[in-house]
Amino acid sequence: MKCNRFREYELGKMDEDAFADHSKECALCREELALDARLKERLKELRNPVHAPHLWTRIEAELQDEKRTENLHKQRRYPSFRTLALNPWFATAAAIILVGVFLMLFFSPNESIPAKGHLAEKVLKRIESKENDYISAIEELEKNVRPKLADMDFEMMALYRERLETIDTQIERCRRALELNPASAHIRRYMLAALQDKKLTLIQIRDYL
Amino acid sequence: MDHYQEEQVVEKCRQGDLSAYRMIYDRYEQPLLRTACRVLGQQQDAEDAVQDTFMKLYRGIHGFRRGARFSSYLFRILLNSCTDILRKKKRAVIEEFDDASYSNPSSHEPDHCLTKVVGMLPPRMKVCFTLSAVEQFTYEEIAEILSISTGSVKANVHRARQKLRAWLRISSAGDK
Repeated sequence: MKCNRFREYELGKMDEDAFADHSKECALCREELALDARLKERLKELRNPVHAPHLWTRIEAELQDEKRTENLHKQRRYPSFRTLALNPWFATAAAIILVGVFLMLFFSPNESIPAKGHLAEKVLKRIESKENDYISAIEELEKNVRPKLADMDFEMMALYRERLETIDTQIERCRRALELNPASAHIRRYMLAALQDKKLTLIQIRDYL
Repeated sequence: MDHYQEEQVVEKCRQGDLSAYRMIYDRYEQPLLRTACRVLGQQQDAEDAVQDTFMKLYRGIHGFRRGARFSSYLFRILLNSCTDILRKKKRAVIEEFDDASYSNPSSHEPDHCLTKVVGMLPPRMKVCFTLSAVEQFTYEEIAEILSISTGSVKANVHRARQKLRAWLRISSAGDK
């Protein structure tokens, strides 16, 4: 003997009351109901907790890694002026323009005229002293940060190295120019800009890893 | 975590807040792990699937439609990850019902562990049954997760229950 009512009930094709009435008379359906009740009871076994104590640590580490990579990609996709400046072509072009402007100013015929850009003796001494402090602080920072370059991926390491070399060349040129013309405020401003650029680049390297 | 709180947490996830992912993990860790364990059969694989689910969630959270059911979305990702793992292992994939690919529980000697018997069900039937009977998803939610019709979900759950009842009948007869 076979009865399809339980199947119909389970598939939602028969309402509960009608099935309750039917099951009072059908032994097969009553048996199915009893088995179903036992099955529901046994389902607790399937809800036993699964212990995975280190899973979140793994997920978190991978998420952090992903976030870091994503941020780096964003920087590359939409380069800021600073990241653009890390591009060797951009840096070379900027350096050429800077040197050109510097040479134009340095060999300018107006140089003989007492320039308003020239610094008074007392002020010059103060500036030189502050400048020396600033330079030694940056050198100290460089000493700490330089070894980190080796830990970077090759592409970023090459970009930062090239950037630092370009800045160092600019600083060196400014220094030589200042030996000839120590009171030039223009040259000092260029040198200060280059030093600030170097500081920011070193901070970027420090924070990169 | 109610629906409103969940929406707020998902919003934080969109902004890349990793603490929000932790909240999602705390809420869904066990259901995800249990389902993955049923599908894959091994805890290590299940952990890999859950890890992969979170990575896919992180990458694809911006594609999650506001107002949609987050749990369905999360479990769809989980089952895709399970399928990927199964594919890698060249084992059965959650696809069509295939009688040849599994051992019929009722045709074997009674096994006293329900977990093992559920593990022997065909893949799709197993997933439908687990999501419905263990994780308490509605037929509509399961249909959404598996991209199949509600009718198909009902039929799969019914057939799974039928097989498990048959197993219980045999196992109780064996006990007597």
